Amino acid sequence: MNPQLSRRSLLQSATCGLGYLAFADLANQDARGASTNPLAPKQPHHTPRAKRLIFLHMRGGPAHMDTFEYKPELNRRDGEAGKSKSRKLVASKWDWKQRGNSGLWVSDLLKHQAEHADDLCVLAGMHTDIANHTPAMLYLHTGSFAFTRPSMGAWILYGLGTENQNLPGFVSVCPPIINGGSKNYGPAFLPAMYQGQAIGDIKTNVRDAKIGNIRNPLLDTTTQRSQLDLVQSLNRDLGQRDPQDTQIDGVIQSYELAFRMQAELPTVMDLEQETAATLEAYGIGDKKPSDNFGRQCLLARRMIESGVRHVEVCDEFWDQHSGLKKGHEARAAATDQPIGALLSDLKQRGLLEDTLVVWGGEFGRTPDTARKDHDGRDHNANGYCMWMAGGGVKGGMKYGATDELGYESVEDRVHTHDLHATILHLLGLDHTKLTYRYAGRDFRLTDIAGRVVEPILA
Amino acid sequence: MQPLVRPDVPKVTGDWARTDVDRFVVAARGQKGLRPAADAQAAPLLRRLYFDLIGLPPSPEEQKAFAAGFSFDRQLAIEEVVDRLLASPQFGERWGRHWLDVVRYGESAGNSRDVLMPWAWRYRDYVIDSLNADIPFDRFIAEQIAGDLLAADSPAEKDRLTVATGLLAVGSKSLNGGNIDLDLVDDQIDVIGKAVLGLSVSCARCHDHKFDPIPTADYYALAGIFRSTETLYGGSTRRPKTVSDKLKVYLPLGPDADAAAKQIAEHDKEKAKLDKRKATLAKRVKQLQSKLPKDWKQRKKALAEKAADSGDTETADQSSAEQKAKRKEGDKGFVGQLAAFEAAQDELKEVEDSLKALKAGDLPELEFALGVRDGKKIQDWPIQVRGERTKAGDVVPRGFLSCVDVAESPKIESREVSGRMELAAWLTQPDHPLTARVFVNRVWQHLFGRGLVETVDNFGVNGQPPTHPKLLDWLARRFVDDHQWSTKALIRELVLTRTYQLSSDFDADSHEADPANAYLWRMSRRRLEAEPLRDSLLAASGTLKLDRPFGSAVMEIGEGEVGRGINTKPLTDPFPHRSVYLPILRTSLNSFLKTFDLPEPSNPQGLRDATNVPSQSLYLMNSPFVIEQARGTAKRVLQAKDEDAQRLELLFRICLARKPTGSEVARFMEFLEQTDRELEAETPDVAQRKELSWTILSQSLFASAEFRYVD
Repeated sequence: MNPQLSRRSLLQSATCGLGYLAFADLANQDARGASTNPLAPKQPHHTPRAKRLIFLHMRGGPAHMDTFEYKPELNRRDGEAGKSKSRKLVASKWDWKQRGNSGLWVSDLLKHQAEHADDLCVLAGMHTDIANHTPAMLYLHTGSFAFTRPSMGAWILYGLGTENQNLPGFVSVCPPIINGGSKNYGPAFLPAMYQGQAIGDIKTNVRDAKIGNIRNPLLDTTTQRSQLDLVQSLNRDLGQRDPQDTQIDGVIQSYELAFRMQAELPTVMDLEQETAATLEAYGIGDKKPSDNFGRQCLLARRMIESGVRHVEVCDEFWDQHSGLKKGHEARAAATDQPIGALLSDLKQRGLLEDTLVVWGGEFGRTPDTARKDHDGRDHNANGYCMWMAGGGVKGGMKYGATDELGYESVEDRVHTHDLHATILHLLGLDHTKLTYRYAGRDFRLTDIAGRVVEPILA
Repeated sequence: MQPLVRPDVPKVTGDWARTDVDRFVVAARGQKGLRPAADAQAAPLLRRLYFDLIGLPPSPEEQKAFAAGFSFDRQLAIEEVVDRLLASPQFGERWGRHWLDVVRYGESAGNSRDVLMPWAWRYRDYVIDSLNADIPFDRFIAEQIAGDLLAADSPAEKDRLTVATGLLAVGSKSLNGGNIDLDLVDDQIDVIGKAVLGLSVSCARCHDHKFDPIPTADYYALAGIFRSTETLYGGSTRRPKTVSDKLKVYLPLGPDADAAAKQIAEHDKEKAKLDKRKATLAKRVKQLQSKLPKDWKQRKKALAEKAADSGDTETADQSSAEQKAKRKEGDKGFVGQLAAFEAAQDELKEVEDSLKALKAGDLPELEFALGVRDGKKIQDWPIQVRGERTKAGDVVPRGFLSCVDVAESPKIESREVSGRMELAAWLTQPDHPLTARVFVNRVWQHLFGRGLVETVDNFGVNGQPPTHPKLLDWLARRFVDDHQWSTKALIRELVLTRTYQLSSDFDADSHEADPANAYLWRMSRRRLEAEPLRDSLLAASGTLKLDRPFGSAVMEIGEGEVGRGINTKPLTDPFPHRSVYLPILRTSLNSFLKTFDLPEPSNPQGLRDATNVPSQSLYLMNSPFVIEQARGTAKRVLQAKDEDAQRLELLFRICLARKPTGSEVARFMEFLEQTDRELEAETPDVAQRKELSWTILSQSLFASAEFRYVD
């Protein structure tokens, strides 16, 4: 028997008001097997090491030599000539210690993350192609800056679908409006359903963020449900005129998903359901510098836990050409405690083992400055660091290195395309097979490059 | 790439076929054993014609008039409607938008720095006007590629042709990072390749095309044409402020644009000169003044008095001769200094007066457009190895695709011109194997839901083969030879076929044989795109304004960049005009358009997605915009009729262009009663409750699948 026919005849046999209940079960059943729903979970290319991804994006470019890349030579040669006569080397302004059992070096700037040293895999040989914010941001998020290409999150959703059909599969919390804006979570030529759902933006805190059209301003749920039943009865009539047409099925299904989503999404976003201790741990509280980023991280956990495939959270202003000490300390005050709390929380809930967490900016910073006040660093695409933790990566590891001063990566280099290839690999996707045909050619996130960084795989 | 020859119309038996197009369809259908569906009824056919031709629903009055005519003489009634719709200004708004999709129209740079293009809308209006004026398609292409080089018999025509070249300037571009010159050329080759030829030529930027016969040399032959062209796409990350700045990044419009531009340039040059002179003089005046003694004003006065009564003072002066001599010497120095100071002061005043006069003088007003003109340097271009600018290979003479064979291929021989005229002539040769085929296929897709070649943007070897190769060729030749590239004539011919006028009725056997309806045994059910959907909502509430708004919200914002302190109010103001006039900011798309599958405006795309994401459902269920239109519709229906049954019929006609069925009447009436009861406690006022109930009913029809599909 044709599955669509059976679904529809079942729907027709139910009365209006109950139809959607029967439907809900069928939609779930769909989600397990092969389905017409393009967002249903899909079989990965190989056994995944991580089922979900959280990307902690530090926009502006944190300095690697002040966070996870210990440079004693640089610190020793403070004030000496840098790349040119007018530039002087700047020592790190923070104390450095080896942490945990692994002895991974982490500066005192990020004390909370330091406590998780044994879970972190620091990629210290990162490099990318361009040292301007916007192109580097687009490169990090889409693998291309000259052309409009699908974002990594859209690729992941296209490749894997998502577990919870009542929630968006890819969420970008507080994304930037500039620096490529929505292109950083856009679908480009992939079908529009793979685009990221933005919550708030860089200027709108999570606390004030609203998802559009999630509540009806006029009707209560009961009246809206009877309205929807009327709509669905019309839709079923239309579907009946053409029993093989899956389009109308798609519309019917979409309404039921939307109806459930408008109940579930606000619940997931309601952080008040967490205990005071949890809020405290994430650094959430009035006037605390970590309030907004703490909310972002907690929201990320709640979403991941509810079956969202990929959440990106975003901090900004890591761009200290001057005022490095004050600036980086302000960013650390905003993000460090929440990130530490997120890692602890994921671990405690048993989520870290199959959740990949990635931290980093669009590039790093130079070891030297031309500024007289000797308290700044400029953009550096030639060498910087990021870290990964959780699903499928080795902890307490530093992979790769920049030269003794931190100008460029010289050892075990990892390019942006390699980063993408590795993230996809950990999620069970082969970056060379995850393709989409657009205008006669198969496109990939990694274009014609990319290599999985095998040595960091657990 | 096979030569475009006109096939014979197949001979078919029976009297089903009405036109030659039908004969091709019957011949192909017959081989598959498919039975055509019944002819469409008046109501769905009228709705189909309205949405397909003008993108708007027929009014209840038009529905009634058509039904009457239809029952009298079916084909005559159809022809009358078709001709009326083709002649209406709304036609260009509908079909212009189709073209804007394939030419990746947008009003901001997108990509890295989303700098606004406040004058891009002129190109949008040009496209709409061209469709309405039925500019022949070959001419339409030539205008967009080389309008600036075509002869114009009036200043208005010159402006129109200037604006046409906006095609080459309105693409997305990376203004921060990358290589803007090379990327711009790439975008121009890409858009012409995909929109006109249905080929992705830009692959050959870095390597010989993997699938299609396009070597890298061909890419750089085309690149030479555009490297010899200057593209004026508006401000970069540095915004133009003065008219002179603007003249560097825009093309001027207006009857005496060139003279005016020259006058303004001279004015600005003169002003710059005077400003500089003024600054120098001001500095000098200050300097000279500082050298004068502090009491110079008194001394000047004293000297003047002394000169006036010189006789007396000489005798009355009791000072010694030595003192007198010294004072005389001092005075002499002072007089010199004073004279120099006063001379400088006079000169400064003179310059200031000239500046004032310059400012008061009448300067011509200039309007601007985006577009191209031939560059100062005309040159062939070397192959950039792997597409990188630093690795130059052999120089390739400017030219076209070597794999395309046309009888009279123009050659770019002059070193004086970019070669865009020749490119346009090459593209629109009557025997060009791609241009006409690609275009008639696009038109076919918009009318039948699926192209004869399904991959409308890809006629390369990787695209789908045509389902009806002979029909495609016949149509292409008929379009070029008989219709003289007239888009309206082509559309008219297609909608008057019996094939177009089929119902969408299901048939189990035919469906099993041809589930995708590739062989046209019925009309395919099609999804309404974002623009006609939004326009229908506004039309239902009676608030749609059909007159064209001037410019665009982006123009109201002016020079600026998304996310960097621009005034976003014009983007959120209520906009009762047709959706084709909504602003297209590449990183900040209108939420309605974005939700309902507007294609990414940076990439040419001739086939839109038709997704069913929950965000669409949420939009129709909850958005204030939809609820507002529902309320407007409710008021309209309540005012127009007194009886609920009549109201319901009107509501169905407004929303679905048909009468409700008996079962629908029963369901809606029951719902109305039930809702009325539910709302009674909270809304005791009967009239208010009535309006609310009908608002909910109207919204139910907006949310129905039927509202969003065309049968």
